[in-house]
Amino acid sequence: MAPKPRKTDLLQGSLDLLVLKTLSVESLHGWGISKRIGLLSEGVLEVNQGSLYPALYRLEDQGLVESEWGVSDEGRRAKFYRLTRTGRSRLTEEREGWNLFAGAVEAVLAAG
Amino acid sequence: MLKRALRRLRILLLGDAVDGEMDEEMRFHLEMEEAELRRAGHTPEEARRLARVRFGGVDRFKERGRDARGARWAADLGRDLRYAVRSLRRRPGFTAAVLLTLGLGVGASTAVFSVADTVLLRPLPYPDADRLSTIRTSWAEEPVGAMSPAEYLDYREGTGEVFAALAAYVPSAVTAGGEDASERVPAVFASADLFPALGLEPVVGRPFTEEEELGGELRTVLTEGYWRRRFAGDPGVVGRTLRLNGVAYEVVGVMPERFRLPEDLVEGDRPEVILPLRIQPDSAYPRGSHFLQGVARMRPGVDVARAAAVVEGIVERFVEAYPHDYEEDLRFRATVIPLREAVVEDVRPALLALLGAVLLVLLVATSNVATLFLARGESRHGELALRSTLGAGRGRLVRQLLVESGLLAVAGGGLGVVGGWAAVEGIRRLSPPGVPRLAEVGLDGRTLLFALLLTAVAGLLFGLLPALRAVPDRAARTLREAEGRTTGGESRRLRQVLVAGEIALAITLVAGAGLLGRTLLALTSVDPGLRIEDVVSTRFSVPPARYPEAEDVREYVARVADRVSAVPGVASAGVVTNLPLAAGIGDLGVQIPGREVGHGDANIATDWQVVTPGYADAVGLRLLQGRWIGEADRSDGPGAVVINRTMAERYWPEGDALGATVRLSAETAPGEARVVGIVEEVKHEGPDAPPRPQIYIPHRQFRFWNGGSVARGLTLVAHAPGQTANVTTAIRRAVREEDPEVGFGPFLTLEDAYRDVLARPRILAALLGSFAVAALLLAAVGVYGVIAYTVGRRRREFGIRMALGAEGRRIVRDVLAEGLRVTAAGVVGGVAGAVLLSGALRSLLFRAPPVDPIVVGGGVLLLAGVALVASWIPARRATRVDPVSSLRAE
Repeated sequence: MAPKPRKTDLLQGSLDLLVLKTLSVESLHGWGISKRIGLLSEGVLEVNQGSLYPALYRLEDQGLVESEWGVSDEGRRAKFYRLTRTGRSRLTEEREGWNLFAGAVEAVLAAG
Repeated sequence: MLKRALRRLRILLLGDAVDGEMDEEMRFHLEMEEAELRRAGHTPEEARRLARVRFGGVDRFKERGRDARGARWAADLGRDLRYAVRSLRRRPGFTAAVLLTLGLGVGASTAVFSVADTVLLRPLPYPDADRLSTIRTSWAEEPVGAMSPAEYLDYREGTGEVFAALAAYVPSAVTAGGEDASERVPAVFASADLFPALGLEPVVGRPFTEEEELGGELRTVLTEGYWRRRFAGDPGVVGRTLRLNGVAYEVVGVMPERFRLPEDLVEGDRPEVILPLRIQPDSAYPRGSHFLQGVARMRPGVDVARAAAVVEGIVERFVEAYPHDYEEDLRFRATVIPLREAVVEDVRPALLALLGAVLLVLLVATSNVATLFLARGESRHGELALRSTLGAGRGRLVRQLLVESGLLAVAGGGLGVVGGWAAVEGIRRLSPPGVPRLAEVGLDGRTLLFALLLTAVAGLLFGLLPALRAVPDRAARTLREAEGRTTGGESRRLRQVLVAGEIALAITLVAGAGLLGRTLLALTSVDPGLRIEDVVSTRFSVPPARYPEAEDVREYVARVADRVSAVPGVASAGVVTNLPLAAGIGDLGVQIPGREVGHGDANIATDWQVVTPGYADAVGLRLLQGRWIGEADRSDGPGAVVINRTMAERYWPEGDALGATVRLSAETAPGEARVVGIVEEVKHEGPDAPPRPQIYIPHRQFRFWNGGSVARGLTLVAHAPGQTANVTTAIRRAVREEDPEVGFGPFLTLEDAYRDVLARPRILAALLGSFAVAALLLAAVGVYGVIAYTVGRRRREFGIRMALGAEGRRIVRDVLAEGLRVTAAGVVGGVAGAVLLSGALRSLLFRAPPVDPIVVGGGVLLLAGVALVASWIPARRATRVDPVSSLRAE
C-alpha cells in the first residue's frame, strides 16, 4: 500500500470550494459534509469542525448556500444545506480559479 | 442582497433564537460523532469526550459562527436595544416625559417649518420664477402696488432692454354665458404679454397676441377649470364664441389648471377667463388713477438692481414732466422687486415670528429633556460603575447609553413627525386667509429631513452629554460615593443653568404672546367707521351691450337700488364701487383750486368711491357735517362730493371744508364739485391702516376718462337687520326681476370681510399663545422635576442635619431659597428677552407697549409659584421623616 499522504491543513478559501463542490452533488447536513469530504479525499483532508460551520454560515450569508431544517437518516432533526444557483455559478468560477492557481504553482515547481 | 439584509434583521430581532439553532446544530453534530466513535469501539463516555475534543472550543465556535454570519454587531445592537427597552419600561415617568417633550418640540417645529418653507422659500409656481419681478409703487413710503395706464405705457416703452415682457392686468369679474347659463365668474383683464411673462403654456390653442389684444375682434382665453366645467373639456372650443358681459368674444386658447395670477397665490379666487385689457399705446390715459397690477419677466443676465435702476430713471422723468400728478410732498416712488418678495412680504414677519417662537419652544423642550437625562444619568452612576468594574469597556457603556437615548430620540421624533403632519393637515384645512400658497403646504422631503436632523441631534446630544458624565474613567471613585451622599457638583450647576434658561425662554415667549394678544385686542377695538353687522353685499357689472350709454347705466343702477330697498327685510340699500374691508380701493387725484397743496396745482391722492344715495344708510356711515349725496345730485346739476374727516382736517385746518370747491382729476367728471358733507373716516384697508383722505362721488355725476365710460363694476350693499340669511334670496329675486341678464355674484357679508381682515392677527395671537402656554408648562415641569429630584436626593443630608438638631422649617427655607434663586436668574433673563423680542416683533404690533407688565408678571408669578411648590413638597417630606430611618435608607 502506498504511504499515507500527510494530512494538510485546509486554507479557508479551499474549504469553501470543497463545501460547494460537495453540496453540488446533494444537499447534506454539516456532519455529512465533513464526512463526505474526508471520504472523497481518502482521509487526507480532515475538516476541522471549528472551521466547517463558520464556513457554512459565511457561505449562507453570501447567498451561495441555503439551509433548511429537516430529518436525518437516523430520524433526528438536522439542518441541511443546499447549493443555490448563485452558489453553483460561484463553484464554476472558484474551480477555474483553483485550476489556474494550481497550474501556476506546478509551473514554478516544475521549472529547473 | 435583500436576503442578506433580511437574515441580519432576523438575527437582530431573534438573537436568542438564532443562537439556539446553532446550539442544536452543534448538538446534532456531536451526537453523530459520538455514534460513530461508539461504532468504532469506544465506550459511550470516551466517545462523548473525544467528540467534544475533536469539535474544538464550543464557545469559540459559536463566536466564530456568529462573526461569520456578520452577526456580531447585529447581536450586540439587538442586545443593547432590548436592554434599553427594558430599562425605559422600568421608568415610565421619565420615558413618557421625554417622549412627550420631544414629540411636542419636533412636531411644532416641523409644522411651522413646513409652512414657512412652502410660503417663504419655495420658488413660485411659474417656469423660471426667479426671473419674475413686479413694479412696486409707493406714496410717501406707503406701498400702493398699482400702476396707472399712462405709467404702464411709459414703463413699457423704457424697459425693453431689461424686461422681456412687462404685463399689466386688473382682476375683475364678468357675467359669462348667455340666456340660460349666465353666471358671474372671476376674470382678469390683461395685456397680451401676461402670457409670455408668466411663461405657462396653454393646454389647447394659443393665447391672444398683442395685435389681437389691442384691436380687431375680441378674443378671450379660458382657464382649464372653466373649460372643463362649461365646455366639458372639448378641444373644439377654439373658435367658439362666448358672451362675456353681453359682448361676443372668440375663444382662442385654454390655460392650464396651474395658471394663477400672483394675487391668487394669496386669495385663491382664480380667474376663469382672460380678456384683453386694450390699453392702446398712443392714447392719452390718466396718470392719477392707479389700478393696474404689473408683472415682468426680466431678460437673462439682468438682475433686479439693474431693472430697478431703469424703472427709477423712468419715474424720475415722468414725475418731472407731470408735476401736478405727482405732488412732491406725496413722494411718489416706484421700483422693481422680485415677484416672490411681493407675494410673501405681507406674511413674512408673521411667519418669522412664528419660527422664532417655535425655536424657543424647541429650546425649552430640549433643555427639559437634557435635565431629565442628566438627572437620570446620575442615578445610574452606581449601576454603570458596577458594570464597568465587571469588565464592560467604557466604549461599550457609552454605546449602550447612546442606544437608549437614540431609541428615545427616534420614538419621540417619530411622534413629533406624526403630530407635525397632523398639524400641517389641520392648518391646510383651516386655510387662514391672507397666507399665500397654503394649498401647497405638506410634509415634504425637506421637512422630513429637517425633522430627522432634529431627532438625530437630540439623540446624540442627550446620549453623549450624560453618558460622558455618568461613565467615569475611574469606577472606583464612583463606587465609593454612596448614593445620596452628594449630588455631583458640576452636574448640579449645569442643571441649574438649564432650568434658569428654560424659565427665561418661557417668559420671553409669554411676553411675545402677550404682545400679540394686546395687538389683537387693539385691532378689534378700532372703530372701522361703519356698521359691520347685518350688511350683505354682492358684486355685479352692468353690461355695455344692454346699457351702452352713461344715462342707461345710471338709470339701471338707481332702479336696482330702489328695488332692493323695497325688499322686505332690507332697511336700506345702496351701490358703491368697492366694498370696504373686502376690496382694494384705488386712488384718485384731487385738486383744491386756489389753495397751494404742496407745489402749485398739485393733486392729492384720495381714496375714492362712487356711490348712490342709499349707500350711507346701508353701511352706517356717520355724517359729521353737511349732508350726504342725494337724489338731487344728478348729471345736470352742480357737482357735489362728500369727503371724510381726515381730508377735511388735513387740507382745511381752519375748518371751512364745507362748501369748498375741489377739482377732480381733469379726466373725470364732474370736474369741479362742491364739498357738501363730511363723514367719519372708514378704515377701508383694515383697523391698522393709517388715516387717508377719502372722497365720495355721486354715481349719477361720475365718469371715467374724459367723457368715457361710467363706473360699471359695482357692489350692491344692503342693510338687512337681523335677517341676513333669508333676505339674500329675496334680493336675488328682486335684481333678477329688474333685469335677468345682469349677473350678480355670491353674497358677502361685511362681517365675513371684517373677520378675514382680522384673521391673521387672530391666528398669530392664538398660535403664539399656545406656544407660550406649552413653553410655560414645559418650563414648569422642568423646574418641578429638577428641584424635586435634587431635593429628594438630599434626604440623607437632611436626616443628618436634623439628627444634629436643625429645625425642619429651617431646612425647608433653605431649599426654597435655592429654588427661588434659580427662578430669579431665569426671570431676569426672561425680561431681557422680552424687551429684545418686542423690538423684533415691532412690525406685527399695533399700539402695544414694549413690555406688557400684566402678562409678563403673570408668567413670572406662575413659574415662581411652581418653583416654590416643587421645592416645598419634597423638602417637607424629607424633614417629616424620622431622621434615623432616612439615614439608614441608602
